[in-house]
Amino acid sequence: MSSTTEKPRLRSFADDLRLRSADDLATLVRSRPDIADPVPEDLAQLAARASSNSSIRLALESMTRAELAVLTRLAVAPQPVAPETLAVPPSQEARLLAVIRRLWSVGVLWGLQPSSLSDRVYVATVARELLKTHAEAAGGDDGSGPLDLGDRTLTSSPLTLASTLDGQAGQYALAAVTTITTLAELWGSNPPKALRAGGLAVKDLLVVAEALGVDELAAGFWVELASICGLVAADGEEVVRYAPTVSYDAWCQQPPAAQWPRLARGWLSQRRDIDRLAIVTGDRASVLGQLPEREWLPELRLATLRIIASTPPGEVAEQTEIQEQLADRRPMTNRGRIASTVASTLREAELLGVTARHAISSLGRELAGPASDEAALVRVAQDALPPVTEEFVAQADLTLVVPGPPSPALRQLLGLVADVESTGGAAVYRVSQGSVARAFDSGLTPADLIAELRTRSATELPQPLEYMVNDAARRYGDVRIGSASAYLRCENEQTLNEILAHPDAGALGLVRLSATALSAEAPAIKLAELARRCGHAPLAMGANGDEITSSRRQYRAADVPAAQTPQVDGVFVHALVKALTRTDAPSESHELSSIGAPSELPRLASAASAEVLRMAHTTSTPVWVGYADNAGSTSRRLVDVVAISGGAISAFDHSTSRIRTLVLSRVTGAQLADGTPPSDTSTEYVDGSEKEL
Amino acid sequence: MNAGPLIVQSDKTLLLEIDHEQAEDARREIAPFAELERAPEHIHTYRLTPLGLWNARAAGHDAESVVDTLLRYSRYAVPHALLVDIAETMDKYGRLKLVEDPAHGLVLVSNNLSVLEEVLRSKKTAGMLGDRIDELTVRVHPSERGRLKQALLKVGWPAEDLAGYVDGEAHEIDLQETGWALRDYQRQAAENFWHGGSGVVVLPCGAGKTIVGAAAMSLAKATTLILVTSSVSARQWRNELIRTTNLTEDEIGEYSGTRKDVRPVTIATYQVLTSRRKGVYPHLDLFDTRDWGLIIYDEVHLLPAPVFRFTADLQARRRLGLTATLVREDGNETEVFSLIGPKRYDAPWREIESQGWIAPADCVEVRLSLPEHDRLVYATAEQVDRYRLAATASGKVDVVKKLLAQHKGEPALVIGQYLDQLAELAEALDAPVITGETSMKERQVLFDQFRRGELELLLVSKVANFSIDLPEASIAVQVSGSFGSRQEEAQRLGRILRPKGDGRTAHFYTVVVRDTVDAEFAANRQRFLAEQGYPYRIVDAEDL
Repeated sequence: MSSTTEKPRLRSFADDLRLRSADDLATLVRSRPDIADPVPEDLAQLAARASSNSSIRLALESMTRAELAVLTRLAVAPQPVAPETLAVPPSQEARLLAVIRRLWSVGVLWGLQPSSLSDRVYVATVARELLKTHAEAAGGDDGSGPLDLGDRTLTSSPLTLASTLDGQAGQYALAAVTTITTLAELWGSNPPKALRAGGLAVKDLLVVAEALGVDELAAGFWVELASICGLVAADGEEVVRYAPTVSYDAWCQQPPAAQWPRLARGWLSQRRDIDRLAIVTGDRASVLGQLPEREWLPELRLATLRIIASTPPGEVAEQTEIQEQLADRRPMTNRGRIASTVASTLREAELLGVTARHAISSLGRELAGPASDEAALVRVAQDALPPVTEEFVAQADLTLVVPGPPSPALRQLLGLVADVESTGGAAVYRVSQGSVARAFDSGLTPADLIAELRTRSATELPQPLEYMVNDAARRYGDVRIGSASAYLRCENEQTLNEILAHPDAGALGLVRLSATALSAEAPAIKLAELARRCGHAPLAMGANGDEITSSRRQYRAADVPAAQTPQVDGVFVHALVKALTRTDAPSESHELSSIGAPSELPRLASAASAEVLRMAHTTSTPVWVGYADNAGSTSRRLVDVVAISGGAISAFDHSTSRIRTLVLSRVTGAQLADGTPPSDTSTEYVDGSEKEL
Repeated sequence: MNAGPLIVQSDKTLLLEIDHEQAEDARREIAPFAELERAPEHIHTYRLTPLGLWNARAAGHDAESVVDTLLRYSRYAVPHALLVDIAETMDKYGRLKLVEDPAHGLVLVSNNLSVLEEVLRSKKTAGMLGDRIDELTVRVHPSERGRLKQALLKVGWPAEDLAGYVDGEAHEIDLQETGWALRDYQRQAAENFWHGGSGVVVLPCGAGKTIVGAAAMSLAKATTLILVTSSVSARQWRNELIRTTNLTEDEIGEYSGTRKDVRPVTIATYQVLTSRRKGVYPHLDLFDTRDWGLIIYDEVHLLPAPVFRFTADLQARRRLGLTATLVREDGNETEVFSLIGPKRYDAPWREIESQGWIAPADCVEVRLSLPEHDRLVYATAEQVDRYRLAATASGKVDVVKKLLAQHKGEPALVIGQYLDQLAELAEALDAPVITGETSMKERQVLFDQFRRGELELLLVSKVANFSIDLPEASIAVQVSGSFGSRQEEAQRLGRILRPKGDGRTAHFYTVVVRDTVDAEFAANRQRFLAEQGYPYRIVDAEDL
C-alpha cells in the first residue's frame, strides 16, 4: 500500500465528497449539472446522484478519447488501482496525471485527491460496468498496447478575403437583431392565435416568413429563438395569442450590440429540436408547439462551437472535419447526434454572426470562451456590429435613407412615418400618404412630425416631403371614427338633455354626437337602465347599427417565468456548495440562526417575498422567511437560498442544517438577515412547530 | 469596415453617397457593372443584375475586379453570398463563344463540356445547332445566330459573339467639324461602340445621340440603315447628317409611309417596317435590299417586336442602339442585350448636365382643386372616365395662362393628351396646335417658325413626344399625359433640355388636380423626376 498512514481511509464516494474542498465541489457540479437538479439535500444524496447509471453515462459521453482510454484501462484493473500501473513512457506521465485529475474532478474516479501517479483511486462502479461493456462491444483495446494520450488535431484551411470575416459576422449579427425586432413588431400589432394544442399555425408561420423575407424553416428558427430568449410568448388570455413580452420593450430600446448577447445566449441554451420542423409529412411538429426536447443539445452545441473556435484566425474547417474532431473528443456520443448537431450548429451560427462563411468570428470566439460574461460579449459586439446611425438623408423622391443601422429611436420614428423599402448595410424608407397618416394616428401633429424629421435629417427636408405631410394633414381627420359600445337616438333634443343631466349618467361615458344622438362607453344594457330610470321605455336596436372600429392596438404578453430548471450559474453553484458542505457541519447553525432575527416578520405578497428571496440569492445573504406548514401554522426560519425555480425555492435551513424545498405560495414573508443586532434573541417559532416537508 | 461612399443592400442594390469625397471614383468604377436606377440629390441607387454583370464581362471586366471594387468602396462588410453570386454570374458569360471557324463556318465553342451538354439538351436551342465537330464545338446554322443568342441568354449561359461582321458595301463618310466639334463623351461613345463591334450607347435626351450616330458612321465608312421612331425624327436625322458629315442630300434616302428611297444612307421609320399587309411585313425586305455595313436603331428602348425578330437575322452586321434609357416598359431588356449587343457607353444625366451640355431644369407641380360641383361629378364617375375628367378640368386653362404670363417672351410648349382640351387651350391662348392630324408640311412650317422665334407658344399632343427638336423651348407645361409612364416623362423633359444660348434654366410645369387620380399619376412623375435628380417642387395654384 503506497498511501501513507496519515491519510484517512475512504469507504465510499460520499466520504470522498465530504473531504473535497468547496472549489472541488463547485467544479464537480459545474461539469455535471444534472446532479444538482433537483437540488440535493446533502452530500450523501449528491454522491448517490453522481454515481447513478444515467448520470455516469452522461459524464462518459462528454469524455475525450484519451480520457476514456485511461479510464477503461483503470476500470479493468482490480480496485483500487494506482495509475502508475498503466506504464506510460516518462514523457507522457505529466499528461496522464492531468487526465487522472480531471477524471477525479468530475467524479468518475474517487479516492483521495491524486497528487501523483502512485496514489490509488477507485473507478466508479457504474462506470466500470459501462466501460467493460463498451470495450467488449468495441473489441479493440485489450489493455496491452501502448496508451495513446495525444489529441487529434483539427485540420483547417485559410479563408479567402479573411479580413472581411468579422465585418460580415457583424452584419449577420445585426441582421439577427433586426429580424427578431421585425418579428416582434409584426406580432405586436397582429398577434397570431395559438393552435389548440399549442404552437403556431402554418399560415401564421408563412406570414412571418413573408415579413422576414426568409423561408418557412428559417422563420421557424427565428420564432423559436425569440421565444427561448423570452422576447415573445403566449399571452395567457382565454384565446391564446403570441405576442412580444414586456421585457421585449426594454430589450428593443438597447443598442444592437447590447441586444445581440441575449440572442446568442438564448441560442446556446436552445434544446428544442428545431430539425423536427423540417419534416413535411407525418409527425410534423408546429413551431412553438410540442417539439421534442434534447437535453444533450446545448452541451453538444457548445462543444461543437468550441471546436469551430479552436481554428486559427482566418481559417475554416470543413463540416466533416468538425464532425470527426467532435467524435474524437466524445467517442461515447451517438454519431447521429454528432452529425445533426454539427450541421445545425454550423447553420444557425451563421445566422447569428457567430460564424461568417463557417469560420469563427470574434463574436463567436467570445461566446465560446470559457468565461464569457455579458459585459465582455457586449464589448466585442460593439466592435463587431456596425455602429448605429442617428440620422437619415431625406430626398425629393420621398425616400429616407439611413446610411447605416438605425438606432432604436430612429427606427421607431421611421417605422411610424415610412415603409421599409430595402435593408442591408443601410435602411431605405419610403414616405407615402398612407404612412404619414399612420404617424398621425399615433398622435403626432403635422408640425411635430416635420419638426421631428427636421431634427433627425442630416440634410434639409425636400419641399415635396413637407408638402406631402401638410397635404396628408389636410385630408387627415375629415372623416372621424370613434368606438362606442352603445348609442342612443331620440328625435326630441330635450329628452337627451334630461338623460345627460341625470346623476347616474357620469359613469356611463356618454358623449353627445349630435342634437339627437348620444354614444356611451358602457354597454347597451346599462344605457337602457339609465333611460328607464329617466322614465323612458327604450327600444333595443340590432347589432348592425353600431359600428366599432378598433384602433391600432399593441399586444403584449407577460414575461415568461424563469426556466423550470435552475440555471447552473456561478451564484447557484456557490450557494449549493456552501449549503452542501454545511449539511455535514451542523455545529455552527445555531449561532448563525441568531443573526438579525426580526421581532416580527412582515407579511408580504408572494411576488414581493420572491423578490426578497431573489435578492438574498444573488447577494448570498441569509434570509428570514415565514412559512406556512401543512397544518396551516406559520413558522419562522433562517435560510440560505440555493435555487429559485418555478414556484419553489431550495434553501439551506440553518435550524436543521438540511437543504429543503419551500413552496413559494406558502411563504408568508421574507426579510434579509443583514447582520443588524437581533431585537428578539429567541429563534423559536412564532407560532406552531416545524414539521418536516 | 472603412468609410467608403458605397453601401451594399441585401436586395442587390448599391447606395452611393454622392457628397462623399470618393463618390466620383466609386461611381466611375461601379458604372460598368451596375445600372443606375435612381439619382436623387444625395444618394444614388445602382442595381446589380445578371445583365449588368454580363455587360461588364463583355466590356472586359472580370469578377475579381468587380468584387474588389465593391470591397474597396463599401462602407460596411459586403455579404459573402453576394460576392459569390457575382462571381458565379460573371463566370457564366464567356463559357460559350460564337466564332467563325475557317473550315466549318459559324460554330459554338465552349470551354466546359457540361455547359455545352446542358445547352445541347435544352429545348430552347432545339433546331438551332448542327453537327458536333468535336467534344467542345458544335456547328451553328448561320441563320440562327441571333435566335441562338437569345435562347442561350434564356437558359442562363449568354454567348460571347466573336464571329465578326461583314464589312458591307463601302461608302466614304467623314465628319466635317466646321462650326461645331465632337464632344469628348460623344467621341468616347462612338469609339467604345466601334471596338465592341455592336451594342448600345446610353445618353440622356439632348446629349446629341444623332452626333454619336454620325461619328459611328464615319468609323464604319459603309452604307448605313438608320431606324427611327417617326418621320419628323427622320427629317431631323437627315438634316443633322448633312450638317455634320460630308454626306449630300442625294446620298440620304428616306423610307417612310410617303417616300421609299433607298440610298447609301437610308432612314426608315419603325412604323413603316412594322406595317402589315395580309399577315406579312412587306417592308422588312429593306434590310436585304443593300449590303448594309451598319444599322443604327434610334430610341432602342422603343424597338417594336417584329423588328426584333428581323434583327435576329442581321447578326452579321454591325448594330448600334441609341437610347436615353435601357429600361423598357415591356421588360424586354434582355432582347436588346442579345440582339443589338451589350451596353457600350453610359453617362449619367447629371454629369453631362454639369458639363453644360444640357440645360438645368426646374420641375414644378402645380396643384389646383376641383370646384365643388365638379368634385361630385368626379366622385360619381366610372373608374375609366375619372382620369379624363380630372386631367381636362377647366380650371387648368387659367393656371396655364398664369404660368405663361410669368415667363412672357420665352418660347413655351404646352403638352396635352386630349385633343378637345388642346383645342380649348388653343382658343384661350390664341396659339397653334400640332396633333396627329396636322400634316407633315404644316408641322415643319410651325416648327420652323417656333425655332426662328416668330412663334412663342406651341400646343402639342403626344405626337411631339419623340425626336422633335425644338432648340429654344425653355418652358414646358404639361396639362395631361398618359398615366405617367417613365418613358414619356423622359421624352417630355428632353423637349426642353437643350442648352439655351444664354444659359437660362428650363422650366417644366405639370398641372394636376389634387385628390384625384391625376394627382396619383403626378406622384409617379414626381418620383421619376426626383429619381433622375431634378429639383422638384409642388405649389398650390392659388399661390401662383
